[in-house]
Amino acid sequence: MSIKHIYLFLLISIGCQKLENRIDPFAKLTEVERDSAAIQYNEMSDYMLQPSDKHRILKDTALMLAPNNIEFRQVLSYSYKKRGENIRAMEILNEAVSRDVAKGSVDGLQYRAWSLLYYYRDYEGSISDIDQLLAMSKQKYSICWGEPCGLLKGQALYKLGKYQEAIATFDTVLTEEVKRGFKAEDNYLVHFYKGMCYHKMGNYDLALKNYNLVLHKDENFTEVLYQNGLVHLAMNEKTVAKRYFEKALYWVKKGKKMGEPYFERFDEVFEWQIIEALDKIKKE
Amino acid sequence: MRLRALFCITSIFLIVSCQKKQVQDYDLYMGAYRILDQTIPYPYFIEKKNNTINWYNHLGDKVDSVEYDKNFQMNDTIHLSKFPFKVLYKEDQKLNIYPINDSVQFPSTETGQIYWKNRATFVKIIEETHLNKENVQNLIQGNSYQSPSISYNPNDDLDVIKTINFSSDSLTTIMTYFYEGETVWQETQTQKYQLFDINGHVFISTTEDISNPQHFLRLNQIDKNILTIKYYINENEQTENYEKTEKFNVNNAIKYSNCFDGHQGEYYYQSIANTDVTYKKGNEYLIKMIAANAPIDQGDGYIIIHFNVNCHGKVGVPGLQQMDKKYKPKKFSAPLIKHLLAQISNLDDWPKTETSYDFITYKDVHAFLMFKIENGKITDLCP
Repeated sequence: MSIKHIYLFLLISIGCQKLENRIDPFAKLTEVERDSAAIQYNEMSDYMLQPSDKHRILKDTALMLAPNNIEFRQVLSYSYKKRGENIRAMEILNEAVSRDVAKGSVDGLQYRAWSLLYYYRDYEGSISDIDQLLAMSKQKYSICWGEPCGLLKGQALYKLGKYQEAIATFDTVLTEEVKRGFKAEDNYLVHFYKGMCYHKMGNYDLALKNYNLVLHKDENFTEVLYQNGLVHLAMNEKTVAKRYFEKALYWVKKGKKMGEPYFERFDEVFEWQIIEALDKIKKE
Repeated sequence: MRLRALFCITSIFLIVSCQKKQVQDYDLYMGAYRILDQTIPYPYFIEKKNNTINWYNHLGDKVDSVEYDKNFQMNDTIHLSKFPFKVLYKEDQKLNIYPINDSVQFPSTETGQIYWKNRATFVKIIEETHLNKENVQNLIQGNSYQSPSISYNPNDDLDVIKTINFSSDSLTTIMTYFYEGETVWQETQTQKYQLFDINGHVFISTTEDISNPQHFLRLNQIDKNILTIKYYINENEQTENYEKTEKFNVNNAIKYSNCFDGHQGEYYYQSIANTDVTYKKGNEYLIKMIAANAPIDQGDGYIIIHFNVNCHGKVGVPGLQQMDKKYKPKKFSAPLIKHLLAQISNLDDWPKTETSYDFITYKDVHAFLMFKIENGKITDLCP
């Protein structure tokens, strides 16, 4: 066994004790040594399954050594969030964001905005974070955990029933993306949810126009096929509606739909919904 | 004078050399778990008796022995013929080992290196008891006992009572979950059990099949009316103080058992069905179904119901956490909680749950449904 392995076991044995049971065992370390040990504990915690106790204990130890490390703190919150232990998850995340904002950074806000929208369906909270981060960065466009923050805000407004505001927010995303060299038609989620807003407002022409922009990029986009069917049904065009529903049913059975591994997207479609729509046509 | 000096030197030498050879007379280590982050029960014993190491299996049978005249030291290899192991690390009360021949439960890298989290942790039994299995069997057989317990899933708000009944060879457990004094969930399972004793300690093994290992239950104290059982979950010792009860009724309890008790996957892991383990019909269906007859409550916040989905698609092992809109603890009313738990207990349209990963062992999944409550009504569901 190498010296490295022996050292790792020793580190684990210190790290694997619960923090509340001990005083700072690293009190005598220099700052450089503390930073180095913090990095090692963090790496060890990342080697463990994220929802495990060991991951948490080792991450806690890394944070004990480096309490101002925002990334360690934020990642620790994932362990609780992914297991639905959300009181603790939010306690940790809020602390991380608060420390991050105090440093003038918007990274924590970007992550929390995304998290509040999709994991907590906390629409007001998500909007508030996005407004704050855009104000802090003095930008109209920013990315929140891989998605344009405006796309998130637009969805939050849509879920709150503020359709006009949502559409305006989606349009800002498209305008800003074009300025950055992207093609407006490529952001299919913006068009899908814009379509949903018009759909809810009863503006079927504009709903279809937006849905068709998505279908132009992917003619088998199940959720859009289903929503197209619903619009045509609302317009009393049952034959067209039926055709869309049947196509949607075909693709949903193939497993093609908006699927996220951690959360359900808004308006993700399920087989029973399409069957119910087809039954409705059959009965009428 | 010279003789006296020679005598002193010889005596000191003998004392020192004797001290070097001095070994512990008796140590018993109980297997707690294997794999640091999966903490799968590892029901074996290592006994160090004078200059011999004995290995006991999950039924308490001595199955291997070897001469060993030292105290355990890091990096020592114990050359048992069937269960050789390497001592990875030793603390006062714990022993971490790597079983050399068990590449199934302790896989190594392609180049044969040990993954340092793939080890077994044994815990030294320190307390002395002087029990024997015959006496214990006579006391417990045909009797029921009750103790406060815990949910094995995240839980802040449900109180749990465990009731156990021993027949001659079966242990039936009823887990009753209470919210604000009302029974809101009850589940039961029956397992074969075997009693055995090692050096005055009596253990209960409920491992029928070693492919589904169970924690050993150590009987710490027993008389006509009380029973204390200790066992390990992860590396935390759990103590359950039972009192004898005449109340034992499984009629209202759901039959539930995990298919593999050692470790549960998470809902977002990819199962063998090539999907995560979320309800097949989605959140909108659940909201419609569950909110339809839900009692109206007051206030805003979230109710998080935790549970396992087993490999047969059955739901069990509930846990409850509740919070307000600011993510601080809060409590909703008992009728709403009772309704949610009753509805969830009936959910039966789940994807397959078994693992699709080589490196994580599980058959059942821990999942949760987080209901968003606005003005006392269910308005949304996450995740």
